[in-house]
This record gives sequence, structure tokens and C-alpha cells, in this order.
Amino acid sequence: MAKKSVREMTKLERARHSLSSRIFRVVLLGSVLLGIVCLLIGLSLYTVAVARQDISTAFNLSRNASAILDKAADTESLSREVMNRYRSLSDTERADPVSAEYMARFEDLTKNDDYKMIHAVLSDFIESSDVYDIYLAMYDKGSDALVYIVDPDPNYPYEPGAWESVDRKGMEKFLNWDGTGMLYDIGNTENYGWICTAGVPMRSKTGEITAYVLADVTLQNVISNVRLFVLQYTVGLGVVIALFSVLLLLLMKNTVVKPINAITEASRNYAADKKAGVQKTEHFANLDIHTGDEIENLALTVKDMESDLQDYEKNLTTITAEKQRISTELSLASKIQADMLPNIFPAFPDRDEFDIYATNIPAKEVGGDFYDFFFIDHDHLAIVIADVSGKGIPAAMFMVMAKGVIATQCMGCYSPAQILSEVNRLICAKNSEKMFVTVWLGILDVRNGQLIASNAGHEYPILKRPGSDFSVIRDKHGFVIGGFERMKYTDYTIMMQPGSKLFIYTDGVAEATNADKELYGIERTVASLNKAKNKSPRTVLQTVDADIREFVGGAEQFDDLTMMCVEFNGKPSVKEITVPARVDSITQITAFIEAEMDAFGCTGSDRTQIDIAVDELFANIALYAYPDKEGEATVRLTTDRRSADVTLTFIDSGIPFDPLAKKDPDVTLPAKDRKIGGLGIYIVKNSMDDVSYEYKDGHNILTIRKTVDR
Amino acid sequence: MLNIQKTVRDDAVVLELEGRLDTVSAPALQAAVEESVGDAAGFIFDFKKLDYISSAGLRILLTTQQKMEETGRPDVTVCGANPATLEVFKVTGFDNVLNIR
Repeated sequence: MAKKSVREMTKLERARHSLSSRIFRVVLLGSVLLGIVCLLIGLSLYTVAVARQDISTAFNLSRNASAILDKAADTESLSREVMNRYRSLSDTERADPVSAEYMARFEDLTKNDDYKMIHAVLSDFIESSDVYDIYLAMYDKGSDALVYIVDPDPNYPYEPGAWESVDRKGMEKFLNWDGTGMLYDIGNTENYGWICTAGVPMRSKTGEITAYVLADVTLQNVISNVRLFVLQYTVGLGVVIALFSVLLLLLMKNTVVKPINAITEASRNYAADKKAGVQKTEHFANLDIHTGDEIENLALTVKDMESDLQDYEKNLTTITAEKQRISTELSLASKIQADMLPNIFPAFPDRDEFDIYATNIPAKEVGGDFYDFFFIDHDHLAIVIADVSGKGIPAAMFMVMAKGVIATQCMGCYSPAQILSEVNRLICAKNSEKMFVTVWLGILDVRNGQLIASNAGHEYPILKRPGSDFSVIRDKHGFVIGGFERMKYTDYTIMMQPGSKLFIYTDGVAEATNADKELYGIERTVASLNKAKNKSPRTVLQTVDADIREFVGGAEQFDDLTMMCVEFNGKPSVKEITVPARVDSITQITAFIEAEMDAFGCTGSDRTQIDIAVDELFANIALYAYPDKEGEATVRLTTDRRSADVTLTFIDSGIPFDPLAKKDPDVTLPAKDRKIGGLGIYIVKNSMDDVSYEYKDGHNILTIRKTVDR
Repeated sequence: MLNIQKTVRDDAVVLELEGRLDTVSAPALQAAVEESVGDAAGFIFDFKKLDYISSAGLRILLTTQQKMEETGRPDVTVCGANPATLEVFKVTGFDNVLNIR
């Protein structure tokens, strides 16, 4: 899915796209993480410090107690006595140290003065301090037991000789103590929970350990202190983080978010204004951002961009206006150029000796191709087709000059070669840009079809003679006009019989190119011409033009496309055939008409209607003109290229009969009431433009005429 | 020139014509029609390949239609006629007389 633009977002989506909420989240997360790390470090330091204090208290107490006991009582004897008795017992005897039987073995020792003294001293210590218990005990290696000697514990006192099994590993510290630092061990007990036991050994004169003075302190207050610490820390940190986040958020809002939003708002308004076509805007210029960082830089940059774009737009408007002006002038020039060429057809409505048609499609607005035709005198038609080198305005201007010079030079001269020589001389004299133009110039004597022509580097003309196809005339080429002064050109003559057609064109025809870079070529041109060889010049050019368009397809027209076709009409052609007036002669008549219609370029429904008329009218003669004898009939066919008229005259010398006099059949009757007969002449009347009958000099003469589409 | 192809389809006689139906060729078609007019349930004139028809051809179509009507089998159809032939039918009112498809 494509990402939405800010404009398309809903309010909610835009809020989610907020820098301040992101900053808030990041700050919050960071602070919490940092807080947790600090808490862990602080907590461990705090715990160690508090625990150390307790341990030190216990250790000092036990040391003080041992110092006093050393002086005040004989701990060594008492200890030895208890231990001796303990060791003398078997495992089973000492299995239950709290049983009355077991305790009875040691009971007498509590009457001992030393015991009492030690008990009193230790009790005083307990009373005057925070420890749970201070007691005298000895470790028995053999049974891994701590044997109590004096235990004045106010809550759970042990009698002398009572024992507890201890972990040898924990005890080792006490056995191997070197006298430095503090001697302690920490453990979880059933009666007191977490406690720390610190102590010092008491030694005999020989240095042997006789007993330990041990002090138990609780660590429970350490744990509750830690809990309180964590609670206070967390609350304090939470408040600090919240305050910090809010402050940072406010700071960010003022220094980052607000300026960015201001730029966003300005951009939106700017875009809206530009869309609405407002020329001068000051959305970015009015931004008031002084953050002294990249955001201020951004604001300044967009401000510059706004004014730069404004200048650019102003320039663009000027350039566009200028372009518009040039384009208008160019299209006007194109119109003027097009009007310069004779482009109203039929060009000479009162002259029927020839028919001429021409087209010019420039590749750009104006082009360098041109054609021209005009009468030099009453009977001589000058025909010009030319192609100026290059394209566009320079070519167009050169074309205007060349056209004018050629037209002027044609007056009073009947030799195209001489005219071209003179034109070349004049153009060379004023041709500093070294442009040139190829020209084909012909002068047609419309009385007899004699065409004198000369070619100055132009494409070969293509000629169609009556009864044959179009074919290229490889005429003698002179050099292009405008190349060298004092060039000579040669005249040549073509006799154009009535029905001859001359096709002249520029290189845009043969060089029309399709998308595959294929050239249209002269062969395709000739083939296209022959598709309409018997048609009028207009139809011929339209056919070629359509073929070129189809060939080129979507490719861009590269060169000007100029074509001209001249047909020499001469006088109307009259042909006739005389055959026996029999039905089987119809085949012969039909063949004669077919050939002539082909040559005249008459096709389609016109042709069918003429065929039907011939059948109807000749059949009438064959069946009815000579009831008792053999006779002949003549069919005369007149084709007039000038009017595109086909006239058929049927002549027989049979009994006088005017088929037109017969009443038209009633074509609305149903089949059963229909008469057979009269339909043929009715069809003829309806399909021909003119039908007439006369009886003259013993002949029935029926004439029909139709103007056909060529 | 006229080519006539004669076939029978569902008791109807199908006459496929190619070329020109004019005065010269009409008798051949006349003969082909008369050969079958006695017992055919109907006639179909297939004009797809016909170039043109003159009044000689129209006469055959009319007489065929009349003969069929007389015996109560008025099923004469012309199909595939070109624009020129249709124009002839229209001018002569044959488009009302014949069944043209």
C-alpha cells in the first residue's frame, strides 16, 4: 500500500505522527532504564554498608566480651570440662541434646562459679546491646558440632553441653582465622531468620583454641531498611522522571515541534496559494523562527526558496508569453505560406483540358517544400514542385524567395531549362547562407499535351500513359538551384495523350518513415499510385496520402509531404462498336464497355448501373428492332474526363420504336398482378442521369448519360 | 457469364448464382427453375456471388413467384444480394414482392 501523504491523514493519524509524543516516550523509557540501573547499584552499596555496620557491632561485642572473660573467669577449664564430658558420650547418648537425661550430665556445671561469672558477664552484654545473643561455645571436630558452654540467650538459652551440628565449611573460617579483619558468618536460621554470627576465639597459654565467644545479630533490619530504601527511591525517581520528561517535552515543543509545525503550516498554505494561482506569497518570509540550529537553517532555506521560485515564476511567465507570441506568429506564418500555394480546387474551373490537384503537409509549422502552377499565357501551364534544403523558418523564407523568382522568370519564356538557369543565377547572387532548392519545372501546352520539363536535382517524375501503369521517368538531372552560378539545365519533352497523368512529389513521400525506420520508398509509391491509376488526380493523391499514413502509423512526420498530380484530358474520347442485333452479341458489347470503363476509372455501383443499362437497351434492340430480318446495331461510347460523363448511344435501323413512350410499370402491385415487361427501361430511367430518344434518318437513336465518380 | 449451382435443402431448391444475370444468361436460369418448379417446396436464390441482375433476371424471379403462388407454395427467397442488386429491387418494387434476406 502506498504511504499516505500528510494531507490525506486523519487528525488521529497526524497526532500519531507527533515528534513531541515520540520524544516523551523516549525520555520516559530512558529515564526509567537509567533509574533501574541506579537503583541496583545504590541498593547493593547501601546493603553492604548497613550489613557491615551490624557485623562490626557483633564482632566488637564478641571481642570486648572475650577480653573481659579472659580476665574475669577461667573459661579454659570450664570449656575443657564441658568438652571432655561431651566427647566421653557415645553418639546415642548425645543424640537428643535437649532431653532431661542429657542435660542432667552437665547440670552440676551451672553451679560452677566460673559459669555463673561468665553467664553474668555475657548477660550484661546482651542487655546493653542490640544483639540477640552472646555466648561461649566450642567446636567439636569429631562430630562437626558446636557445643554450647555458656549461653545466656534470654529467649532460647542452651544449657552447657547442648550442641548443634554445623557445616564444616562455615566453621573452617573460624578455625583458621589469622587474627586480622572481622570473623563472621551469615546464615538463615529457624528461630531468628537471617542472622550474622561474629566471634573471636579464646586461646590457652599455649595458643590452642579453647572456646569461641560468639555474637548473633539479626540482619532482618537490614532487609527492612532495604525495602524502605527501594520504596523511597522509586517514588523519588518517579517524580524526578516525570518532572524531567515534562520539562524536556515543553522544551522540545518550543524549540523543535512548534517551529517545524510552523514550517509545515507555511508549506501547506504556500502549496494552496500556488494551486490557486497566487503569484506573490510570503508564507515562508513571515516565519519567525530563532532556534539557532538546523531548524532555523531550514526556515531560512525555505524562505530563500520561496523568493527564488517567485523570481523563477516571473521569468517563466515572461518566457511562456514569449513562446506564445512566437507560436502565434509561426502559425500565422504557416497560414500565409499555405495561402501562398494555389490551394483552391478545381483550380481553373473554366479550363477543362486538364485536371490538377496538389497537397502540401509541412512537418513543422512552416516548411521548405512548395508547389505552384499558373498559366504563362492562354495555352501554357507552368507546373513547379520544389524542396528547399533545411526546415523551419529559414527554409520557409528561402522558399518564398525561390517561388517568387521562379514565377517571375516563367513569364515570357517557354524553356524550363532557360528559366532554371536564370533562377539559379539570381538566387546564387543573394545566397550568403548557401541554401539550395531542388526544382522540377514543366510547361504543359494544354492544346496538345506537349510537356517540356527540366529537373534541377529534384525527384524523378512518375507518369501514367493511357492503358498502362504509372512508371518512373528517369529524366536528366541538373544541379540543385543555389549551388553554383552559371549552371546549365536541359529540357526534355513528354507527349501526354488524353488520360495521361503526371505525378510529381518531394522527398517526404519516398522518405516517409515508419516506427521500424523503414522508408516508404519509390516502389510503394508507384504501387499506391497504380491502385488509383484510372481515378481523378484528387483521388490519386488521396489514395497515396492514405497509404503513406497507414505505412507510417504512429511515427512522427519528419519531412514535408508535397504531392501534385496533373491529368491531361484532351478532348472527349469517342469509341463505337457495330454488331449484329442478336442477343448473343451482348457478350461482345459487354467486353467493349468493360475495357473502356476500366480505362476511364469507372468502378463500383456506377459501373454496375451502366452494365445493366447496356444489357437492357441492347436486349431491346436484339429482340424487337428487326422482327423479320437480320440487322445491325451500333453502340457509341463517349467518355469525357473533364466532366466525368459517360455517354452511350444505341443506334439501330429497325422499326421505329420509342421505349420511353411506354408507361412506367406499377411497381406497387403484388406478384400475381405484375406484368412481365417494361421493367428494363424503367430501371435504366432510374439509374441514368439523362435518357433521350430520337428517330432520325431511319434510325432509332437512344442516348443515355451518367456522370460517374472517379 | 453465369454459373448456376443447384442443390436441394429440406425440399427447397437452392440456386447459387455466380456472375451476371442478364439477357444472355437468363435462359439458363429459366431452364433450371422450370426443371424443379413442379415439385419444389420452395426456391432459394443465393445471390452472394452475383455481380448484377437485369430485367431479364427479374422476370424469372417474378414468374417463379407467380407460379409458386398459384400452387399455394409462395416460398421464394433471395439472399445475399449486393447493394447494386438491392437498389434494383427497391426501384422496381421487387422488395415487396420477394422474400429478401
